[in-house]
Amino acid sequence: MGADLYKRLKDYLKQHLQLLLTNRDAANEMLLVFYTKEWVKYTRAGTYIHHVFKYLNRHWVKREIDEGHKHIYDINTLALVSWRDHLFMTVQGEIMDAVLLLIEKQRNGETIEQSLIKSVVDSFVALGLDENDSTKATLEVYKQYFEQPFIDATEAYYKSESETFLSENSVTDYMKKAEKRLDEEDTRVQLYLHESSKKPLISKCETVLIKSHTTVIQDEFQSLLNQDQVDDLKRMYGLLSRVPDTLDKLRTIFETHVKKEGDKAVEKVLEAAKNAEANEDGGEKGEDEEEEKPKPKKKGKPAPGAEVAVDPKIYVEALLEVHQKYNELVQTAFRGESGFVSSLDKACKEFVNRNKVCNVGSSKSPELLAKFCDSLLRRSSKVSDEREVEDVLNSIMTVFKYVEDKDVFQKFYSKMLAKRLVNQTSASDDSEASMISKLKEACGFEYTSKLQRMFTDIGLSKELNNAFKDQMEKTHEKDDVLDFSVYVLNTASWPLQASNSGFNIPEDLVKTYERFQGFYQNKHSGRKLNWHFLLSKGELKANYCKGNKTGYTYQLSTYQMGVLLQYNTALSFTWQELLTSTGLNPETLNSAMSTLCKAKVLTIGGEEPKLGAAKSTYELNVDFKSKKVRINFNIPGKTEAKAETEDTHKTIEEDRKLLIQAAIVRVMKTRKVLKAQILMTEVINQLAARFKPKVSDIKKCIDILLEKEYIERKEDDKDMFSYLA
Amino acid sequence: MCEFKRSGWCDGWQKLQCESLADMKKAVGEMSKELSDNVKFREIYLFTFGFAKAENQKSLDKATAMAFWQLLFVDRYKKIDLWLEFLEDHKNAISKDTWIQFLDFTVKYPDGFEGYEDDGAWPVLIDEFVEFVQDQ
Repeated sequence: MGADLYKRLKDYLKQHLQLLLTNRDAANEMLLVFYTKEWVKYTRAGTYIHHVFKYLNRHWVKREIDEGHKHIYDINTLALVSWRDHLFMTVQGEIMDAVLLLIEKQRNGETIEQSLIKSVVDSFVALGLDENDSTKATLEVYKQYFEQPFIDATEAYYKSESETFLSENSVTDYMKKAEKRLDEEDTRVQLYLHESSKKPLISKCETVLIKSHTTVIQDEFQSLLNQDQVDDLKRMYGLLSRVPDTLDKLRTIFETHVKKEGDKAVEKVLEAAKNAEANEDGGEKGEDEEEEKPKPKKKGKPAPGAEVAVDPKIYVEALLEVHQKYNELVQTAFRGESGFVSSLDKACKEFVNRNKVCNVGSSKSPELLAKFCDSLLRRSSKVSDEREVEDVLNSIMTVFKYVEDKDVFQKFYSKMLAKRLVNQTSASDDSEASMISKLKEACGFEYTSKLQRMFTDIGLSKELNNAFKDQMEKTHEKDDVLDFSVYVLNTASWPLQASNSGFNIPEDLVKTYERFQGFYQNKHSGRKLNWHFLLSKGELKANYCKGNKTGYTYQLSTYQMGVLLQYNTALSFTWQELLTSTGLNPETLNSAMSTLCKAKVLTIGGEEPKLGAAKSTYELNVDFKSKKVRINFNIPGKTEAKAETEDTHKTIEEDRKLLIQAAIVRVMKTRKVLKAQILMTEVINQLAARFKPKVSDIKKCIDILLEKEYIERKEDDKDMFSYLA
Repeated sequence: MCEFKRSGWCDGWQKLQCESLADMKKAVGEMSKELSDNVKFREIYLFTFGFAKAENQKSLDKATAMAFWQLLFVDRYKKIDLWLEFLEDHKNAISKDTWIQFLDFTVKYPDGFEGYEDDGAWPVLIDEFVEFVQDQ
């Protein structure tokens, strides 16, 4: 009886549905209205009869299902199946056409009745039944009859729209439209589609809107960069990041662009410096402004022309500006993506180390960076707020990380630090310490240990001076003791060069000199003191000037003191006499006296009235006048500064030779036998943190070590080296 | 430098059974022919370094080296004149390694420098020589 009842019900449903079919409205939107209305009615009815036939469900139907008879369902499911077979299959094509028409209208900007589509979707979803298990719902029907045609229509629509739009509009406008469309589709899913459609829909849209037009979009990238259009860049990144492998090209363009910008910035600085120098040269040309002609390079290549002096601050700031600009761009427009960050780093590394200011081979960047640092940390620095100094130091470290030849920076920094400490021109101890700890963080302890030591020495010297002063007070009359202080420094840690000249300590200073020697030897009998008179200075009171009642105070180098103190005994001396009495060699005497002569403290006379000429004489100028009461004559000349820089570079070269050799030995000791090329790669890796050695330099060191018999070539393979214990 | 012991001189000639100047002339003539054997030549070339240098030095001074190179390579290496010209402006002493490698160099690159890598294991002096020739 169950079967009979079931069959009758089934037939009834079939009839009912067929009737509906014939009564339907064929017109698009009306069809949808009809469909949804009937669907709602029908499904509600279905639920009712499901309850009505509860007994049938629970007994006959269940038995049939358990026995594995297919196509027997509980009543609700039967209703749905019937709908599907007798109404849906016939009508679904027309339904979809109507739906797609509506969606197209909406995409074109018209308002539509969204609930209609939602109901259709719900209906299709509900119709997806698992044949075998009526309680399971699948999306088969939805996917096949709704989603697929929907996506196909979407594809066609956007393909045509994007092509037309691009042909008539700019890429930037296109990107805006594409972005909007993508957002719109996303919303569409939320409004009336099934959530499972989101992924295929968006993916299809991305393909049609973005992927198909990748090249056109990428080509626009350069001009956006040129004009700093951040919003558009951000949009482009957002769009292209949805499609794999499209960003590589952008990264390359970006890297090249940043490098070019860096180079441009440096060129500007160079041009400005050249112009400034040209204007300067038009003016003064003092007699002792020696123009050093650069020596021609070994292989007969043309000399690069006198190096233009570039202001360190302007140079470093130019580099920083470029870095900061593009770093910000990466963060805002490219969401800090690591690939772009790495492109930025590569580009910065290039233009920091290789640009117009740094001719190939010369390590100008680290040198200028150190000079900038020095100007910042000196008392004369214009930046006085400690926090501001801290910020600038941080930005210096940013550039520092890109510098390849870090050893050059260290050498110059330590030299300038030594000068600041010895001349007491540090602006702030805190800033000094802060910089050292930053360097330690970046480069490790070994890099900064000597610098640290210098500070310690200064502190110790202060104590020493106090102890000495106390002792002098106890043992000598006040009048007998000169105002005197000294820095006692550890030779190994300080990059100070002793003078190559002798010196006769002036009479007035001898006593103090001997007293301190004695005092120090008492304290540390095993140590030897090397006096650096070259770096020492003092003050003399000048009461001899006519027309000046209060007298002047001259700030002088100790050598200059040696010269002037002679004039306590006579008013004029010959060059020879001065050489003898001061005990200095001619070059040193010359540089000591040049400022004094220029300032007209001494007048040059004699048969050859030129500084340093054998027959020149030097008379004390009693008519000397100055507006200032304290006058500083202790200023190093330009040539001296330049010579010092060259010296420093030489020291760096020598140090590098030793470092390379040490690295070679280290590598060979570990590996015992190694091929030449691999050895060189290993050495470069080992030294990377300090500097980038040239292959030819490494080879030279290999030659040296071969000669010294630290390593040898293998008998049968001259490309292999082996370690000689 | 360039010294040999009297005993060596006497024993050597004795082994060659030379008593007179005429014998010596003949023997030298024959020995010269031996030089065309590459293995023999190598032996003699390597010996030359130790022989030519001063007792207490590790390296050979340039002038002496040039003289011997001239002597040994005049008919063996096409570029020997260029090599000597190059050396005029360069370096002071020749290390043992450079001396030895030079022979290998002439063997491997008897005429052109195709395939020469300057980041290979050749001594720096030879790298500079190749550059010198290529610049011309």
